[in-house]
Amino acid sequence: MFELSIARRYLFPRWRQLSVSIISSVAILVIALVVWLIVVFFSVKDGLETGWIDRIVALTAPVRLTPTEHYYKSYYYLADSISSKSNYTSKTLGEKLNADESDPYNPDDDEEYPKQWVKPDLTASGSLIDPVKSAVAIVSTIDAAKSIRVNDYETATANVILSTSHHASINDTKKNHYLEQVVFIGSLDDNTPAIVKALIPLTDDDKKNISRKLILQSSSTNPHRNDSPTNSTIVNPTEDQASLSWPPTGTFGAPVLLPKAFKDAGALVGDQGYVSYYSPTPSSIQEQRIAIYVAGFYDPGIMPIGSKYILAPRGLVADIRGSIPGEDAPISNGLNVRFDNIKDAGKVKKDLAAAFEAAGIAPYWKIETYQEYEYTKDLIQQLNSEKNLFSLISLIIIIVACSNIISMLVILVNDKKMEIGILRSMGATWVHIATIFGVCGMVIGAAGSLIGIGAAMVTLRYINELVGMMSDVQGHDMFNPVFYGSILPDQMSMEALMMVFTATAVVSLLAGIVPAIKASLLRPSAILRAE
Amino acid sequence: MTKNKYILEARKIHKKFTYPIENDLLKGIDLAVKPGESTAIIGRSGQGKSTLLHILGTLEAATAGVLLVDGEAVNFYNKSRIRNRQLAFIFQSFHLMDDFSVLDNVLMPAKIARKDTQKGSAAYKQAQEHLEAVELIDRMHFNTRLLSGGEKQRVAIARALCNDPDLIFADEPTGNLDEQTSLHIQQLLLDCVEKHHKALVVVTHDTDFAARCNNTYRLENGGLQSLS
Repeated sequence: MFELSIARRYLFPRWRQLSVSIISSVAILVIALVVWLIVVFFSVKDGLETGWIDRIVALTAPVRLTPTEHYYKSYYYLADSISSKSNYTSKTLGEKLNADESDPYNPDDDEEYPKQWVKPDLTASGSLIDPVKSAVAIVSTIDAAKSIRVNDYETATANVILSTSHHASINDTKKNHYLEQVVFIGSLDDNTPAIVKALIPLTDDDKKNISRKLILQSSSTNPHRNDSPTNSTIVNPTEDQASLSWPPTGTFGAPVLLPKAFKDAGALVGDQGYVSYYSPTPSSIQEQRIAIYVAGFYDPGIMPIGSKYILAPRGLVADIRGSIPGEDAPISNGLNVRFDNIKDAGKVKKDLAAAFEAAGIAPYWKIETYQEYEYTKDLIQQLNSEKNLFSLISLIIIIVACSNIISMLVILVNDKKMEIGILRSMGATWVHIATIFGVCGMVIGAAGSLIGIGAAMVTLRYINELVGMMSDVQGHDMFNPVFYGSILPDQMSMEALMMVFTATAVVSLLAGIVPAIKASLLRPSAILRAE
Repeated sequence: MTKNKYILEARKIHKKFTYPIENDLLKGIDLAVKPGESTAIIGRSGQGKSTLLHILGTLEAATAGVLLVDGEAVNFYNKSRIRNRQLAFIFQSFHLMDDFSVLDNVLMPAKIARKDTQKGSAAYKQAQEHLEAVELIDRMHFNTRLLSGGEKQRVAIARALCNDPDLIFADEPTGNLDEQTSLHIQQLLLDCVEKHHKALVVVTHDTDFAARCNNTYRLENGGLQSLS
């Protein structure tokens, strides 16, 4: 195409047209600068958002199934409370899942089923619909996401009291400090690999605290006793402590993972304490305590209840649940549906809804993606709003940057008027002329984009070093670690890349159209006779 | 090769300017040009010779009248194609493309026609032949800026022949040249008529050159007067 060779000659002229070269170089530079800025900004922002969402999902799941009011009023749920086989106690989802029978009620042995209660939902074959086992079975058949799996979860509320007496010396036992906080306690199952991403590495203080606890425990342990520690798991042991185990068996209580807020308040790994809750008895309400120790800390990100959400073994949550019978239990439960890519959440929800409808269990379950959870909905909406706003601002910046292309091409058209006339006299159509200048605009846009993307790649590669340098210069953290974490994300956002590249290409093309039309509308006769 | 008796027919061509003052420059011009025939148009400055040439060459629209090129009426849609395939121009100021070499300039009409212009192609060989005919083959890779006026006009002649047009328009082709070079260029143009059987319409102030053409017209008061 001769248009390309002419466009190339116009964009890379000889020294005589140096002014055109300088103007086009400035246009390329401005676009590169804008692309660099936008790609770096969106990459870091997307990385932070992904991290936040990962942490939210680490504590929950991309999709959750929670029992509806229909479930709690169903024969399936209520039958346990009047069945001897269920010990006249309502079952959790986990218990329902592991129960031998879906329907434990025996009309011959158990009391009469109250007439005001709803009737059983039956399958076509007349058996009781089991919404829990059916739901779990259906989840495993969904192929909208890879590695799909399901677990039940429970959440309770209680009070946590921790002893945070971090003595300078193990012999100094005079000072005692306590941390007390009302918390949500979530059951931690081994099917949440994402929690690993949120765990905070042990600090030197944590390691010292663990050693101190081991030494204290060791000094109080009678070597002749049978329950002396075994040497199983050791956390950063010293030579003296190599024979000690962590945690010492039976002495420390249940392990819990605490949110970072506790660490900021002075807690360390190895601290001990208890969870406290109240249990009604026939005569009064009594406080119950379960011993715990801090097994680690995690970063809940910007999750609204993150500072009050602790993770504990399922048994501990079950103990709290068991303390208050019936519907008044301070507990929520449901099924966590996990899979590899959280972006598949929408598809999984859609497929589950269709399958539940077909299986007749849809009324029993509320299906939510992580974007719809009560405590994440506002946050996700805010993130989406910010994203839209920043995208709009970016587009405006790109348009402003690409307006340089218009100026540059208008100058070029004026500079090349005579050649336009000559080409028209040789039969070039207005389309040929418009193409030449349109190509010039696109090349400038593409060159600016490529340079900007290259610069963004380099910047992202060294972003934490750059931020560190700038923090050193200003004497404090450039970005608050509470919100942004200790290191910034350094992965380039493909979404941002595509958005910027597409926007720049389209805007460059549009910017090239105006001068291209101007060029094509020039009358060859007037140009050729002008000289 | 033309299909009609006349390669160019202009019927009742009018050109009226309204700005800056109202001026009926051309008043019903009739002109017919046969293939292999040279036509010269002379006249005083400002009489509209170049305007007429541009109208005949489809570079400018007439206010009224009909223009046929090889029997085909020229309109908005076909004029670029006609200009590229059947017509060629030679200007007083040469109008070469300065950013390109001599060869690139000669090949430009073929490139616009989307012909293969790679080395060894038919268009490339033809361009070399034309450059040889105008004695510029040894400068085919020169930038046109480095050429003299006469050389530039010879490049323009070679370029005009590139797409094997039926009709060549020349607007005062020797106006910027010395006498000797001017005679050389005149001969080259007349050779196009005689050797290549092209039609030539030339606007000139040079009465000697006009006298060497088959037909000569004087443009005066908006009308053409035959001097042949």
